[in-house]
Amino acid sequence: MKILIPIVLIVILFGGFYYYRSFSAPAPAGADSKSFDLIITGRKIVSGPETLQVKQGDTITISATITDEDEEFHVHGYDRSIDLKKGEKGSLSFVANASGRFMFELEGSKAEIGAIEVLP
Amino acid sequence: MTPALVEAHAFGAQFVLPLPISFYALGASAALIASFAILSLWSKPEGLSKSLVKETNLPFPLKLEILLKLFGLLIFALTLLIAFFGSPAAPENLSLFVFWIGLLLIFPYISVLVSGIWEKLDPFRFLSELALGKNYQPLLEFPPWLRYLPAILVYFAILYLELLSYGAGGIPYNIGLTLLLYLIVSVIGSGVFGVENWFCYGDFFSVFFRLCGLMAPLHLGEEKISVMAPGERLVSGRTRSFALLFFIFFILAATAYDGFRETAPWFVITTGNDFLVSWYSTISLSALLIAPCLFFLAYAVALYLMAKISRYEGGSKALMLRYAYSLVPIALAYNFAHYFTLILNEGQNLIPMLSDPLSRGWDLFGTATYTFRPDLISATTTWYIEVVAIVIGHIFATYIAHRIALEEFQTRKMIILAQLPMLILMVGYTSLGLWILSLPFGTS
Repeated sequence: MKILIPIVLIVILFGGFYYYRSFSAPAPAGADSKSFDLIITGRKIVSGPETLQVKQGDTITISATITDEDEEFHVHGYDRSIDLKKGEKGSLSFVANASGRFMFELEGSKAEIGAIEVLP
Repeated sequence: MTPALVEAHAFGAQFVLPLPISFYALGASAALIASFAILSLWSKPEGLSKSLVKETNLPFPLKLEILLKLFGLLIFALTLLIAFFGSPAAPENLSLFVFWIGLLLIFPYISVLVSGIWEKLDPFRFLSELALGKNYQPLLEFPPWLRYLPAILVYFAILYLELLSYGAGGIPYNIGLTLLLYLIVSVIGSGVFGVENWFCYGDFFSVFFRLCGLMAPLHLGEEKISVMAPGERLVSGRTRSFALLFFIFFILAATAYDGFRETAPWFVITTGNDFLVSWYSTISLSALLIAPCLFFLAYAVALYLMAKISRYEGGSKALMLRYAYSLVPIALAYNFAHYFTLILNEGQNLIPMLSDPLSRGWDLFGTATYTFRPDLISATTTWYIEVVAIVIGHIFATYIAHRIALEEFQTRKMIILAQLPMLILMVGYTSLGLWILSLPFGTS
């Protein structure tokens, strides 16, 4: 019977935590639109953030300009891509409905240059 | 090669967000409560020391044994076929899934539930037996100093291929070669030391899955099936080999290393200036080698204190070996917390691959057009699973360590005092695992 004591304690701990989280979660503030401008040179982001943070449900727009080569810009997980022509701005927009951290890469050179963090 | 190209697993992606600090605190406090509850509630020597293993008289059916062997061989042959003749592109080649996910991640967890399956399926063992024949006499005895060292070397080679090979481990052809090379090493090892000894002391997969299987409630023995309370064989099992102890630390450290390598602090340490960047490969390799030594050092200190406090007759070395298996649950739970999203993601990729294993445009099961869903499990669910897995591993490990203490020490006072360093060590390992999961990720 003694085994019940720690089990009950830990269940209360986890239950309390779960309850507190669902209770104290801020009311969804409605979906926002977030835009990011990236400039890529030498397979690196030279202007703009490497980690793009949005909330789940937001619409994210990434405008990217690559200065030195033609490339395909690809977001893992969401599996969205756009062809970037050297020197021209390309943009990609989608609703971030899955939470998590999604790397994006230059598909041709397989260089992972940054990540989108979709917070729940 | 820039660090950005080095980072990433051999293949596969995980979409995990860092564990929020509140989850980290939740896990650590649950681990603390459980540790001290176990210590204070069951410290009477006669408490739990009886063995809970039950051998059944159920013999393992010979026909099933042969079927399993043939099944193992079939999977091996198909994997080789797909590795060499399937799509050369990583995500579409089934052999990568079989090797990295099936064999190295899912099979250990299967062994945690049912042990002894690998011995029955093992195509390397089966082919070695076939190659050498029944009446083969080995050339040498397996020298005690060499025991488990070949397994550690192969483990290291596999980790190198996974984490430090600049993506070579994500090329199907290389996986085919690796499997063939592994087979050749198995046959040679068996030829020199005999099949039984090689697969007991030398073969990586056998050693690894046998360790995982020590937790299993169901054990498929050579002829009999045994049922027991989970972890019973972690308590009763003993090793005389420091190499095997080190192998366990390798499991623990490899996960910690892989987790830490993706975090922002790692990037600050390793790519802070040009000098560090130019030495990146060397630093990564050294870190992989040093990590298990650090885990081992902490363990050695804790067990030295335990031996001092309890004035244990055999000394701290004997205690280190006695407690070796108590770390297995922590190592595996941490491994699971770190990798289960990889299994889920790659498992989804498996759905279309199964319908078209050789990338010929087939649709065998009507699933070839399945597309990946990133929202299958949410970030919050992932966090809960991570914390719960790590806490369960911790509770299990403390329980095993406590059972060992009940067998080794005589009085209630001694059990409590001697267990303290071990508990602090285990809470430390658990918190470290949670901490690494909570670190922000770095990009190059």
